[in-house]
Amino acid sequence: MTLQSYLIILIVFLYMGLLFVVAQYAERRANAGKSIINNPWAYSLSIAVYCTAWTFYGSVGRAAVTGLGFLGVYIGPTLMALLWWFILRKIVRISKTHRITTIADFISSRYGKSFALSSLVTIVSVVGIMPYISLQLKAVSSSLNVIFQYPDMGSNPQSLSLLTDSAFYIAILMILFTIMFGTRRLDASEQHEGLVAVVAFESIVKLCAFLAVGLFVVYGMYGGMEDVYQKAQMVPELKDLFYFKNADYTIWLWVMLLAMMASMFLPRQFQVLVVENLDERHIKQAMWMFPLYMLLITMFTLPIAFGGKLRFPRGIISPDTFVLTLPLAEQNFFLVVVAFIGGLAAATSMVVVATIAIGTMVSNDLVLPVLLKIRGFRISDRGNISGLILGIRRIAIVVVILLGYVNFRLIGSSYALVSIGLLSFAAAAQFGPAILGGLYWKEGTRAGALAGLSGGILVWLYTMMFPALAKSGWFPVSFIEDGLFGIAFLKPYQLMGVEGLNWLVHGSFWSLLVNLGLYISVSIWIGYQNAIERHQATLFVDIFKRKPKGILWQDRFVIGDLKKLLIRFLGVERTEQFLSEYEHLQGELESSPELAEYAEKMIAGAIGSASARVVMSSVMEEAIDADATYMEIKKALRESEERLQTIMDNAPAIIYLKDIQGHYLLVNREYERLYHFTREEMVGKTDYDVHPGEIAKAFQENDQKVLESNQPLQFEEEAWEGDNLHTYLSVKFPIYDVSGKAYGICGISTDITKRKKAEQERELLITKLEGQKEELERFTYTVSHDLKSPVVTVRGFLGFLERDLKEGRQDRIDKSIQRIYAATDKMNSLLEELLELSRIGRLSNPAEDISFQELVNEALDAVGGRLEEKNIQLNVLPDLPKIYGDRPRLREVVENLIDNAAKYMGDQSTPCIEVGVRYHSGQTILYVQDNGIGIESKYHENVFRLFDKLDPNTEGTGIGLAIVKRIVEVHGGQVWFESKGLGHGSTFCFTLASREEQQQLELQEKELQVGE
Amino acid sequence: MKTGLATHKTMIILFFLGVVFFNYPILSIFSSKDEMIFGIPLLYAAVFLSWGVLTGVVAWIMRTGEADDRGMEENGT
Repeated sequence: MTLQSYLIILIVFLYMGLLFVVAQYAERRANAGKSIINNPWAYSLSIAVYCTAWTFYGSVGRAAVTGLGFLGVYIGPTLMALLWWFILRKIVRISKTHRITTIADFISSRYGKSFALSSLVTIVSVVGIMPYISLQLKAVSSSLNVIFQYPDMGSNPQSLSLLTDSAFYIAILMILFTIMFGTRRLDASEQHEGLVAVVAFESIVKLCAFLAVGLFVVYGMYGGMEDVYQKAQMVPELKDLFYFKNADYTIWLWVMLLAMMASMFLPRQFQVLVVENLDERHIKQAMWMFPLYMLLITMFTLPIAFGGKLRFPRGIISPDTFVLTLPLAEQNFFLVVVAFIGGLAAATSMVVVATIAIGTMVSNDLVLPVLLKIRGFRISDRGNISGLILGIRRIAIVVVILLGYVNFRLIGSSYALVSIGLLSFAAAAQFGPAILGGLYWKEGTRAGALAGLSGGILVWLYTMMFPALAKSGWFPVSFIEDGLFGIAFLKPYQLMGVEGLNWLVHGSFWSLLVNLGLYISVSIWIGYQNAIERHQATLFVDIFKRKPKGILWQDRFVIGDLKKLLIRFLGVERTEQFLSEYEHLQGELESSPELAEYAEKMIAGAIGSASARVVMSSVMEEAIDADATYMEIKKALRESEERLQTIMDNAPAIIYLKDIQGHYLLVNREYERLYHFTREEMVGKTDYDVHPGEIAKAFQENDQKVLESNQPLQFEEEAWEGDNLHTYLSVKFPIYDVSGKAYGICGISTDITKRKKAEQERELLITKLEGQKEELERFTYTVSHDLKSPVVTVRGFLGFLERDLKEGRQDRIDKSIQRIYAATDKMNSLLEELLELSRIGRLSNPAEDISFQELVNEALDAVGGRLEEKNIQLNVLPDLPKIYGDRPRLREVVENLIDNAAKYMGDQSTPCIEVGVRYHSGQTILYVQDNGIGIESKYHENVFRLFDKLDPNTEGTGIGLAIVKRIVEVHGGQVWFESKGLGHGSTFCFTLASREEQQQLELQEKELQVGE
Repeated sequence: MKTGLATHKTMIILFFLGVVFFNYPILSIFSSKDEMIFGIPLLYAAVFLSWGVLTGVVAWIMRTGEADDRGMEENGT
């Protein structure tokens, strides 16, 4: 007896009808608020979509060849599940927060909502999923073939034409089923309660079916596990499978690794794990429920494999079909149908979820962004966006399943189920670096993800996909054996000369190495992330930390535009609901960046984040594309300004900033203190508002010089501070804006008044001291010189005296003694006068008002003798003025001048001296005039110098006129002489300071001494 | 939250223990002996048994963790 094909077809339709009932029921319950899938059981069962027809049929086949080797595909996810509370919860949280609906959306969103990435991930997913879908088609179609043809297994399914190929009808059926299920309406959240319910239901069906077959084989056909293994132990070929060979461990490790990645990053796994997750806490239970499910569904795989091998020792029956052929062989048709339905459940759930996920991806992450970028396609002109999206998805589903069918026709027959599945696993694993890196490594960049993913997938194509096609005869086989173009190190199974590796290990190793290597190195090497990329990286990595306040949209948009946009993608009802919710939360509805961000997420839920970004940018501008967010910049700016003001305020100098027209922009506290304007008042004022005209003018001239020279310059500037003119040392320099153009002048002025004054005083003092030093040097020289001549005289005459004493010549003795006396007298008078000179200015008598007439008379008492001796006539003119000063000193002046005149009278027949006064330009000039020998003009400078006697032969010490000069100077006056030349006599004139002037001078003198 | 963190750590430790246990060379210990346990080849028995134990341990930890979660919710955190 065999099963009738119409019966099978009837069963298929009945089963699918049942699925619709389940879906309807679940959705009705969900709408009533009593979800049947909002629990960890349903969540875990939906994750079990991982176990496909591959698990149902293929793992038995693999177990029959590798023993325990088939289990790596389930141990890997079990271990991965241990980290779900870590990794999966983070991905779920991120996806819920950002309304991410596909894995392409997730990756592109993490790396700056990049369209390049979303489209790349979509294409990789489509290409990667192809073998997997073909695997499901192959499984169902071969299960049908087995049922219809058993026990005649000789015919080759590939010889069938399209119309007689059951796989083609199955593909069509799957397309219809998926379209009816997944694209009935557009859901903003992309959550499909009905779908999840169906998947969970199918997971139960396939588990029960497989357990039923397992129990039948182990306990119906054999006497329990023990019996199966004991019998298998007898066959050496089977006993070998009890152990791992050394080569098995490497494959085992890599299969485990690939399965870890695939169990999370296959598009359908992402769909059920992340998108359809209703509650994060379900993850906790799924962490053990999902591994438990896998444990149960693989428990009987090995016994079935061994049972089959023992039952069909000739090897005609493919181990992939043992689940069906064992009940068939035992004529248990009920169990055959159960097993068939189990396999069908496994295949349909996978195809439905995978193609819905891919369809969403293709529409949201590939086609829509492209359409939005086409200028001619104006999204605002299209009324029914959801219709368009659903249309794209339907087409995508048809294309993906048909591609899977084409793939099946191309390579399906030459491969075992498991090898095809592993191809898809290796493709899904390529998403691993970008996702895991993106979750924990902020520096992972868009460029890195693009490079890694494309590099990895190219290697995957080269080392895994193309050889598979070549083996099926679509490429020349020489491609595998000799490498591309016959280059040995390009052999797809021995890349770079790496030999002895299983094709899976080899391909996975190279593709993941290239992927991870490029991802990390390009991320580090280029290192550049734009603002939105950095913003998204922070949002993803720090999802559990406090939400950073990022502003990526500007607040200049019209709410009406936004509303139109929302209605287009969400419908009127949801838009109104959303806006009122927002208004309720925020208090008011205004065009803020927050509203824009919120709206973007809502739209992203419907059409994906890359598309949402493009759509949003049609109604508003992106905010700053700068290094930090707006708030951070603002804060940093304020801090920097405060820092600058504090530094300026604590400087002892005046600091100010003017624009190039001279208006003040900024002054420091010192400026405020000095000029009594606050900094607020100063803004906009010019120098003319603060300083008198000529000073302000000087300031502005200096500013102008700075602007012209375009470099810092130093000036000495003066300004009034109260009644005092202060001197400032100012450094002025231009301030540039971003474009390098000067927009202002900054000045720093330091008060150097005290320093300036001290400098001047020091200069004066130095000149004075230098004159005194010069005088002192000359004095020392002449004193020693003049003192020496009497000493020489004394010595000479002492010699004569000694000789005369021996000879007893009394007359000459007397004469010598006379000479010695004279010489010592001269020395004495010299010393007396030096003493006198030193007293001037040191010892002084109190100043008084003196009649110059009296003073002249007093002087005559002292020098009258000499005048008489020389018969000199002295004329004292009447009406001499009163003078003020030190009486004895001033008398000395007159004495000296008269004496001097008498001394240089020469051979004048009528010698005459005149003492008088004349007035010239307000000055009282006293003079002593003679008609003596006069003075040659070349001696004018030397006359008053110490010991400079014009005629060395004349008597006198040469100190007299020096004394005169000093006394007159002490009295604040001047002394000079006038002469018409030799033989024309000379006039010595002097002035004295008035009483008031002298008193002032005295005061200054005292101050200076106190100061020192 | 304290329990949450401890659970975290336990899971990470279990992950690394699992990776080490289910790989060469630990697995080869069970693969070299010609023995059966309950009539099942040693390698198979060891892997399935430890898989079951691991799942059980995770279930036990997570069930306890669920109680903590409820406690947290009641406290309004």
